[in-house]
Amino acid sequence: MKKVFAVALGILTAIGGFVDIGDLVTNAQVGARFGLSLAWVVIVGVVGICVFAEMSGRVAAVSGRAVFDLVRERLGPRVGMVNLFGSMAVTLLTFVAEIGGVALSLELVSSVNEVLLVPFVAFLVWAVLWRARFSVMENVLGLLGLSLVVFVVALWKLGPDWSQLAHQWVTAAKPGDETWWTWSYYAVALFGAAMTPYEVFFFSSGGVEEKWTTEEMGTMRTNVFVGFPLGGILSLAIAGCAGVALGPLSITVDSLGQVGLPVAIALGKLGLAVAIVGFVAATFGAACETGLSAGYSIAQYFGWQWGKLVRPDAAGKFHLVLVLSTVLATGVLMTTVDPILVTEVSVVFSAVALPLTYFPILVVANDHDYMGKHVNGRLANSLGMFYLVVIVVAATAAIPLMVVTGMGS
Amino acid sequence: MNRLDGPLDGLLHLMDRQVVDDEGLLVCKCDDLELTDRGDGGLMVTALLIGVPVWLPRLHAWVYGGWRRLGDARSDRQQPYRIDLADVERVTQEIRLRRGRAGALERQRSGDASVRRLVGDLLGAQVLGPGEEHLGKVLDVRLEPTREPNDHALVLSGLLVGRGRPGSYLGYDRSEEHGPWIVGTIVRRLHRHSGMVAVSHISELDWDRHRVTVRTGLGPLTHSGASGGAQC
Amino acid sequence: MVAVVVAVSGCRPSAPDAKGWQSSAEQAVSDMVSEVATSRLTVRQALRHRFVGRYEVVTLTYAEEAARKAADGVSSLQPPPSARPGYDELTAGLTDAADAISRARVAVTDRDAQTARTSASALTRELARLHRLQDRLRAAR
Repeated sequence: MKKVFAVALGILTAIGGFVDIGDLVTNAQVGARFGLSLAWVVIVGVVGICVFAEMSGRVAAVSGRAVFDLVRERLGPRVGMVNLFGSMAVTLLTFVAEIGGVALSLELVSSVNEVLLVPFVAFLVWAVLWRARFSVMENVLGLLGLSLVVFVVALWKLGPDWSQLAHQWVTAAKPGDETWWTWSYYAVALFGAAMTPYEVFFFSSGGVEEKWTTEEMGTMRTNVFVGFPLGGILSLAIAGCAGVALGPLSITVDSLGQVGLPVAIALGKLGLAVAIVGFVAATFGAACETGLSAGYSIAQYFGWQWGKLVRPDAAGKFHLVLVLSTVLATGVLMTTVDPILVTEVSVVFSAVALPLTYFPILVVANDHDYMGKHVNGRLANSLGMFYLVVIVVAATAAIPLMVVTGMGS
Repeated sequence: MNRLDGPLDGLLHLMDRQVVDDEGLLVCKCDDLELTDRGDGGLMVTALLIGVPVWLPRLHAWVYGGWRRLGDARSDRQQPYRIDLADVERVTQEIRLRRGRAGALERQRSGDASVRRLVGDLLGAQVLGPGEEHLGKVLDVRLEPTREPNDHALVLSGLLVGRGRPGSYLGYDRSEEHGPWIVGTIVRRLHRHSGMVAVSHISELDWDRHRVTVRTGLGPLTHSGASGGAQC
Repeated sequence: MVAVVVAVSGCRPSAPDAKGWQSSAEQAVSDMVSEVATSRLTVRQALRHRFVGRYEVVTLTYAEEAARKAADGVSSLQPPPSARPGYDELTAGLTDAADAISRARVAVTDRDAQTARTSASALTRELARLHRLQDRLRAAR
């Protein structure tokens, strides 16, 4: 019975923790402009992250080491440093976007200016990273993030023409007034938002934090293969709501308030309140994860003690990195830069950084030294190689598309 | 399976490994290996080297040059930290120490001419065969434990020689079953001219000119023992 | 030579050619349509008491800021000769739309249901006007 509860908790946490500010904004933007014609990108992205999350989770469970930890060992300090640079840059950018996202969500309720809320939010994030137990942090925020299921309810309540939605999805029908360039740009952005690079590194380090062994592999696989796709459904629901409620009115999404409008229309005060709880939980959870990922990456490259599984004074440099990251993120947001803009930039650069992240995972998961008999099988390797090709295509196309379309305008 | 019990490779099995103390706390990463020339051609690995002076040059010589120029007031700034191999209990997929983390790293003393570094001085050295034939570069070293019970150093028993840069194998040369298949095949093709030379066949080791002269040609690559399972 | 070219193209006020002007104008109008539609939707839902906290106020404030940016973006440009005839109508349409959003924001923040209802109708009129502007711009391509 306890096992069933643990598995259920894992799945629910995975669903709730899947969506972050990048998913909220990008899916709403795409839904409003393109309906569900880019839904297939979300599906490809979700399957991709499942394949690599399973690999990185397996690495943590079998070897007791996190993936990034093994990147320098396997690929050398130079490749490791390039990887560190790239990952840190994108992770910190995402960290800034997530903290901004929490501030925007709280602004919607309180009408206090988002910039004034940033220091408060950043302090709260740091306090949780300093003090809260890892599993408590993950479980509470993951379960609260499940509130975003209100978007599924809202979509159903909006009473859309389901056959038309299905037609859009299946035929990937680009709307007539959009060019193929913008369509491709948003496909890449959506892909970057779905396959967030920090997620797989975090998943692996989290596995070490929670002291996974080969016994936990079954639970880990269930969390990944059931939880993540269901989380992907939340993304599609957000896109669907925007497509049904905002698209026909020629509304393009550029503020967080617009993302929640369909829920207000369909379900009123109660639904909107639940959606806001979901916004706060999803962005706060993602802020904690990206903050920790920044610390994990540096500490694992240099061999410093990392993690919340030891007392803070035993992992001094790791916690110092967390403090500095939080201060840096606060500084960036206090320049009154628009967090939505930061989010849009972060998903594009996430797409660019994907090969750096995923290639080492594939190499490490194939290593007999670390994995023993749990090394990648033919299915994992075929899927891994296929996705590596897709990722390289998306990464090379990202910046040119961003320039040509002027960030999708 | 403790790798220190049998033959192992310096770059593949020791370098960049996580060093862990006796309680399981993480200490550092191994950035280089200390080689001691014990005369009569006997080269031994005596310690792990850690620190900016040995890590930074591995990124790029130019970056290291910049760091060196940033400060010269401290006399021991160029000296890395070392962990003597006597403190190392076992090598699995991490390097486990016999002692606690506190004070485990000590500055290397400067000035000893017989003390060299694996990455800094030996890896990448040109290998010349009989008749000045260019055989390749030193890509890795084969190490073996000494026979003496109280001597924890590792004896250099062979050099892995080939074209390309050290570490560019990504380990695919030393184990047959590494997938994904296509990556392994590509890497093996790039390194088809590699081989091993026993240390006893070295006729001259010129540290200053970064050159090794050997009496014979390249022998076939051998594997340094079975790769163990995880968590061994 | 390069310096001269850069200096000339970087002049104030920014003076795009006909094609640049066309795309800037169309972009501004379509942005404005989005903000006006958002505002009208928000005001209507606020009248139906569908929001919690200050959601409607914040959403309208963001819409207002984006509308001002769109209107100012066009009015700060120097129109090419071909665009001179429709220029006044375009800038007036954009400014009036932004003003309508501001009035809606004021009414909703004050919780003045009567004025809010009036502003919703005003926003509908502005929307129609903007659609006519859009058609005219497309015809002029």
